[in-house]
Amino acid sequence: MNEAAVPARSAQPSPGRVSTFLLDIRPAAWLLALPLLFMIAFLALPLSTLVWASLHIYEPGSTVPSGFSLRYYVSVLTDSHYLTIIGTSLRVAAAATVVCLVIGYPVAYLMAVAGRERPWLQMLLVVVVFTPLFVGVVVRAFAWTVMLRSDGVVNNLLIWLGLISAPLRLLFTETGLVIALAHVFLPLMILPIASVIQKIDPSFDEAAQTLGAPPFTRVLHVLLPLSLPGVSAGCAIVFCMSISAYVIPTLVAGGRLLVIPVVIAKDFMVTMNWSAGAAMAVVLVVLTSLVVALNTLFFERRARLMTRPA
Amino acid sequence: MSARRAILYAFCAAVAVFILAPIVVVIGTSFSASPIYEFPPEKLSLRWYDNLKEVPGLWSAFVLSVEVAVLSTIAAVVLGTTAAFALVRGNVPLREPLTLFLISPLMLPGIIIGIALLMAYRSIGFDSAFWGLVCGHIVITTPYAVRTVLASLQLFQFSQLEAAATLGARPGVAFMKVLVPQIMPGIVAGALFAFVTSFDNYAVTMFLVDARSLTLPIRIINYTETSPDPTVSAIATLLFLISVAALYVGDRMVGLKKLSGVD
Amino acid sequence: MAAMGHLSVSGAVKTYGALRALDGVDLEVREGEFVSLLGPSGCGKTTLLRALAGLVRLDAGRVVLDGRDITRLPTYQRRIGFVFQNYALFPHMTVGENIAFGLKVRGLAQKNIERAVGEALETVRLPQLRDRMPAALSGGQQQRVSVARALVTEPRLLLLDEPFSALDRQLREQMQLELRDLTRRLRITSIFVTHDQDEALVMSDRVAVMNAGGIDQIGTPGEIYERPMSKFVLDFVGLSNYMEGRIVERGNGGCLVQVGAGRYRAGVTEAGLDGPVGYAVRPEKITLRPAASPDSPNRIAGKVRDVVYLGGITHFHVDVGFERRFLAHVVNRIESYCPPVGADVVLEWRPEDAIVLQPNAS
Repeated sequence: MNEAAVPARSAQPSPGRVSTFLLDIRPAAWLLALPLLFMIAFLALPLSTLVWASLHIYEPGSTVPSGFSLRYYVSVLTDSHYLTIIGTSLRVAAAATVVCLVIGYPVAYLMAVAGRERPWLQMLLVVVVFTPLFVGVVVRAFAWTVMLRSDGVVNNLLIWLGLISAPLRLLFTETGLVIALAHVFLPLMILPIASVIQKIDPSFDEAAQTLGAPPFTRVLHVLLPLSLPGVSAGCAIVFCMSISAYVIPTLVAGGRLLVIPVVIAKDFMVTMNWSAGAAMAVVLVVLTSLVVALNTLFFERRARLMTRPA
Repeated sequence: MSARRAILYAFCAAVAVFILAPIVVVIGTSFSASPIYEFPPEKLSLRWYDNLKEVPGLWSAFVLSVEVAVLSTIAAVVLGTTAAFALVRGNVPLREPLTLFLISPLMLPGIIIGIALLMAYRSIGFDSAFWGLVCGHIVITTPYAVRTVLASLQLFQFSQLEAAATLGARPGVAFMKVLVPQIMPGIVAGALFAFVTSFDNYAVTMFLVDARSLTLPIRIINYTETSPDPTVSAIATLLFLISVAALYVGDRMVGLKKLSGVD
Repeated sequence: MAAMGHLSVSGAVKTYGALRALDGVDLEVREGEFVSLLGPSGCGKTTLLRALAGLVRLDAGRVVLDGRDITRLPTYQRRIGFVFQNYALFPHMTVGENIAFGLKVRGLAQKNIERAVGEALETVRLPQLRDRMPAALSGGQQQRVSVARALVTEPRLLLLDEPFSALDRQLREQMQLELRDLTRRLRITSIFVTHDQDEALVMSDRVAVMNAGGIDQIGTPGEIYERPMSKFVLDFVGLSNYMEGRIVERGNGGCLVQVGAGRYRAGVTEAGLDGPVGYAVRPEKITLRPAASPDSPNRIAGKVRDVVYLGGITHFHVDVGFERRFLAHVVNRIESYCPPVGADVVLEWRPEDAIVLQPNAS
């Protein structure tokens, strides 16, 4: 029988009651040991190796460092070559995020509300949006290399519609990359937003109706504010994934358009400039962590406000 | 139907087409008779599927991917479930930061993890490509299992186990008959995401494989660089079918809506 | 000001699949009247209220407000006020912003909005909460804010959906009186949904008792309680002792009803009733005596089976034969006759206190 003191959390077991096997407090905490140790060994320690490498100089070709230096960080943050790359990455990721938000929000809305009147429609939307996630990044990135070719579907469609007269060069351009990124990560924008909208109590919209608000006002003043946690979660995910993407830029934009992950890979595999690569890697991690932290700080707290009223 | 609704439906239909188009195009080009990527294909042929057996190392890459994915998924589910239990039931200090740490690989760029592991392995002289790869995949798949099992556990009312006991069930029986069925959706979802993540992974894998053993995604990308013919479309189509099958299984076991977080 | 809040509903029908939630409801409400829709869950009262608000679309029937047919008008054009059961205060706006919402939508000048919000908060006596968030308020405060929000737009009709159900008893009773007072002062037509009969009786000018999609009876609280017209209304509002019998004699401003071997007098009875009828007496109308008094027209003898003491009143459960048990409520005064369990007693009541109605629920 467990005799631990009663903790304040709701899921904690009551003291001295029925023995619930694996689920008493003291043994349960030890279950964390294995996963935690694994993650420390295979995540935390390697990452610190990375940080350590970024602070040391490696002679070309050797794997043993020869001295401590911050110069890689200095060059990464001041060299125009690197700054261009960082700027491109930020720009591309931001553009992909905006595109995903604009075309994804209405779909998320429909997915969330269709469940009440037309469940089949909701199911259809879920299948369409969710399946691509299981197809994987490689297949979808490859698909875009096919679609964006000069003789590919996109150009053919645009010519057929009369919007352009000669094929556009979409591969190896920022535009093409943004399109491909937006496509691949669109489900990751739609699903969080749909999930939040679905939890919004319908009586808020009804109350706004009884107070005389026409549909557009209700969207602006009730729906959007209450769906903000989902929007920010979706934007954070899409932005982080876009700026960290390696396969998609490599396939769609090739070696010509440089974004951070591509450069990091090059530093490690081609030029063997491990320290520069490591420094860039740390910069990338800091950027993505910042976005995640911002999202958590500002919106996770508000998310609790928006659940159904008492 | 009001005009507003009609516009919304039309817009969503267009977005749906945008989402599905690339996959449809790929499937289409895989059946084209000509060696260029032609959509819609003018003449149909199965020659690229036939060509699959001519691609060197394709089958062994597939097998390797499956092996790694299966091992990682099992490990991820075990680690993830035990971690979730500890986080929900154990009076763990620093619960929030630890949870964040366990889930952090989801937020980290894949290549960073790959590079970090590469450097770590080199520095301690660990040279088994296969196990190094598996461990790397476990790192990126476990967070999915932690998240989904955690969500299931948080919805579970532990007083049900007390009720089961008052009805005469021994702890093991209560565990198997009351708890496990209710967290099964979380476990299945976690396993599915873990498998797909591992099978499809490129960024982490590229740093951890050696020239002799390649996984399927790497083999595919290599092939596109050397001989860009629609054989790749055929491979992609087959992978797509496997994904659909996996999703169908997931839907049968748990329900697609639960998996996706809607409803 | 022109006539405000005259409501007329005719033939309202609403079906959900096989369920007929509203089965041809007619209702007339005068300006300034407070009408309660009272009934058990599933009787259609909430459906009717939401149909008046436009949140539910009727399959058939008309809703006319101040002479204007609003049946097909969308909710946001109906100029009504609605108080939700869960208050539905916008969680992302302050109390002041919540109340201002309806006015902002109407395009009022900011200065006027501020003034109106201030007045509304004064009316519900919460001026200090203007800048708080709804999550920081108590249940009673949230409730009052939601009333203020609904009233500030000066609607022609105030609709309330069980607004007090989430409050504890003391607060609920206080809020009932406050709301009643408020609607009287503002002279605003109000329709109030509740399943609590006491609440309906306390607050209403008239009570509409609803059952299975229709209004069984509508009348003042006194009419509903003292002269119910169906067994359903009799049972739903208050307790009663009920017997079934036949009218055997009419005249002398009343009638005589035969129940088994006994005959009981009733006072003025509906002309349409004849033949088999239900005969009922409310427990508080019964007088307990140790022996029959000589001039009492209605009496029945029995044995006390149970005595339940409730402070101000004592309930007596008396076996009166034929497997029937009567309930008598006696106010506890020094001179009251309070027999113990097992005592032989006689229950007596006046003909005017008897209720005669249709034997089956209409």
